[in-house]
Amino acid sequence: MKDYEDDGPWMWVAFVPGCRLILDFVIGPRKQYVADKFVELVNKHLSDKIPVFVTDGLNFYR
Amino acid sequence: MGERGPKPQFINVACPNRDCKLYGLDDQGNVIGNGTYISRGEKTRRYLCHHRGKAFCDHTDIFYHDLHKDEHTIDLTLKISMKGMSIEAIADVLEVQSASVKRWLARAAEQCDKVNDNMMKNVEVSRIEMDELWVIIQKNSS
Repeated sequence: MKDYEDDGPWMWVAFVPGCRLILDFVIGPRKQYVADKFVELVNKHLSDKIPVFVTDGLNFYR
Repeated sequence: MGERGPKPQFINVACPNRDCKLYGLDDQGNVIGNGTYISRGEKTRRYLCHHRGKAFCDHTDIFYHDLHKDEHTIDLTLKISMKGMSIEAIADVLEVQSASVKRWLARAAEQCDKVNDNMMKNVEVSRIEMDELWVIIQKNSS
């Protein structure tokens, strides 16, 4: 990944592909604390049943 | 019964004050009518909550509350903005100040957030895709 891609704001999006619903989004840097905040926000919208979360295979998530 | 018929009952009106115990609950008997006034050319009713003693009106907590411009112009602003026209261009076409357009857009965004928070609860889905996209946010508004 080129360095410039990590600069500037990123839009974190939680998307339900089945019904094309955007559950929530956050604009911020590509940092762990933004990811944590994002997961917390998404969790507020969900019921007790935890869905499968899928994403691209970026090393950052592991 | 008075000379003008039975006194109106406002059973469908709930107190909008978040500090009130009866906040958001209708048909509790705590809301009474407290006169009317004309706002932006329309008759607007004022209410009083007996529980907290706070007054409110038909426009309290809605998007148009305390805005002086007519609803049609504001609606048009938001619609044009969604089609992609710049803030300066909208202000120019509708003959309003660009600061007003920015304020209406910010207020609309806040209101959308409230609606979203209220309606998007207990969502049951089987799969969620979470990704981050690199975006460019322009510093100037035009």
